Amino acid sequence: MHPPGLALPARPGWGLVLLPVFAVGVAFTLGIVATAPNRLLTARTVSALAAPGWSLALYAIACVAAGGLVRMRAGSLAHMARLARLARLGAALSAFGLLLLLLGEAATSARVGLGPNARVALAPGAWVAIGLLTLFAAALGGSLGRAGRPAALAALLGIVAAFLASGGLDALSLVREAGERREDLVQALVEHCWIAGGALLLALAVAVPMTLAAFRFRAAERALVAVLSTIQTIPSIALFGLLLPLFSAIGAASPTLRALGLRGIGPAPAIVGIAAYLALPLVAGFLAGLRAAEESVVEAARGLGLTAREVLTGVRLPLGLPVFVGSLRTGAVQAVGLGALAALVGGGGLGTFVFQGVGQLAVDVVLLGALPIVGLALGVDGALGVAEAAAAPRRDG
Amino acid sequence: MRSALARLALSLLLFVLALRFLPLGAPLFAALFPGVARPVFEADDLLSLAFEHALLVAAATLLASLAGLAGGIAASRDRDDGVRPVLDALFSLAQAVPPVAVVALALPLTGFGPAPTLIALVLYGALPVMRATTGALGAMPGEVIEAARGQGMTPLQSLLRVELPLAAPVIMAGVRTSAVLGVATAAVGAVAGSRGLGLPIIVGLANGNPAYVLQGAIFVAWLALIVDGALALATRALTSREGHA
Repeated sequence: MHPPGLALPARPGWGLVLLPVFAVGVAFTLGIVATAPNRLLTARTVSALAAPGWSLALYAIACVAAGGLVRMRAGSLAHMARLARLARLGAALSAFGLLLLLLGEAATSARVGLGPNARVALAPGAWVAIGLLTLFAAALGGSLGRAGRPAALAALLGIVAAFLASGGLDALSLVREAGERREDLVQALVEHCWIAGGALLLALAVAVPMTLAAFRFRAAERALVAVLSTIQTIPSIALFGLLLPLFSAIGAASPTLRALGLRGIGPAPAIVGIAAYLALPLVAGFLAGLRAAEESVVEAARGLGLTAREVLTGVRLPLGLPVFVGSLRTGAVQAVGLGALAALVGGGGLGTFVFQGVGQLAVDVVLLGALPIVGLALGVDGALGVAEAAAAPRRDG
Repeated sequence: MRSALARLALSLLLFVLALRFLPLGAPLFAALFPGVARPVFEADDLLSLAFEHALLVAAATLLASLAGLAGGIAASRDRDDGVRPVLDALFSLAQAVPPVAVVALALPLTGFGPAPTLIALVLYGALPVMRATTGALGAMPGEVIEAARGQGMTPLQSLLRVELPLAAPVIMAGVRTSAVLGVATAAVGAVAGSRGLGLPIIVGLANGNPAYVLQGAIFVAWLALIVDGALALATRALTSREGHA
């Protein structure tokens, strides 16, 4: 039994091989693109075989090769094993890149002969293949140490960004629509970052003194955990909805506070609401971090004559650092996800597209909001995951 | 144990009475929110909404627990490491997708109704159960498994008769987390036409009626606390019975 994120054996089992093999299978059975003459008519899935043969062949070969590489013997030398892991990850990333190439080519050829109003969307097989190969790369990245999985996901996001920038996916209606609404999207993305970042900062400002109080007094810990866990049972949309009239009352009563953004409509209720949800994971994580130092170490430090404050700053804080960064990571990812609900109370952010799409029953519009949220969450998770790995004490071997 | 059961029953009784006789509270809500024309949600029967909410969460928790249990067992049984890294990766990836995005993406596939919410609830509910199962089975002392083998048990018998019963309290804690989160998350499903206690919240948000939002919030949080208490009791009943066997 090994903790998650640590080394795979030199030759992993069949479970991993199946992922890229299925990724080829679904492309053929469920289709990769679907077309419709216009927005109103239902989409018809185009057979994968309609895509240019060379791109299809490249993709299939890359997936099978990546699967084969997983089962190949790596040799007994340690550096050979590491090289084999890197090679497997490289193969997984290449397969993902070739999938995007195939999707772009298939969409381009599907668009031939269709009118300007035609919709070319990704078919279920494409989404499943993207999911399977993402999982494959993430699992292989996990074999390269703590920072491996975030790094692998960052590489996947980079590949997607490169394809979008090069125009390789421009035949897809989703990408066209994103281009047309680029300004709105960028604005929503910036708003989303402000909402999530503001909520995280606010939660930190509250959680740090709470943690110190709970660490000092047991009664405070029990009371805090009881209150913060009860907040978790309130549905987020309701909490935001209740903060809305509260903030409009505050804004109406005090023009100064109103000028600071404390009014009903706007991001303020959502930021405060999200911060309320983040408080529990942050306080629980920070407490665990303060307790991460073994008692014998703390005793030894006290024996050396360190004061309580010195023990805290010199022993507990540095030893708990990876746990602190880890709970910050959990909180930040949650903040990005909860930020989607800000749109329900007029707070803006990427959720605006999600709920607009739900209202119009338009998948593409939902995706315009949901995909950047997922990308943002994965990016934040990856960046803080690398920071967490860097903060962890080095273990050789 | 008996007093905990009595407290739970009382809470449930009060919950049902509050749902049934909410209109009597109209003066209170009118005083709290003076600007609101209709202070109490009466557009739909709250009692049946609460029942449908609980039913949806129960079905989702059951499916999620089965999936999480199967995944957790597969991950901890896996000796040549083909399943575990995939499940680990799935874990970290799934956490990056917010539930509302899952509801929104499932909506065009399934149409309005409870289905998109059920999908999101099962997806999210399976994670805590799987994590608890993997953790509890992974932390099982080697002597326990060796003792079971020493008595001539096959690996399957050892799993079913020794390891899973010993891991039950931890797994049940995962089920509890999953169900409580599910009660709150199911409220979001109201945007996709799922009937439940999220309905007053969404109607309140759409019509600028914070009294409806507050009523929905109170009942959802109350239901979550009842579910939490009920599962805590079930865990205790389960583990004390195992102790006698």
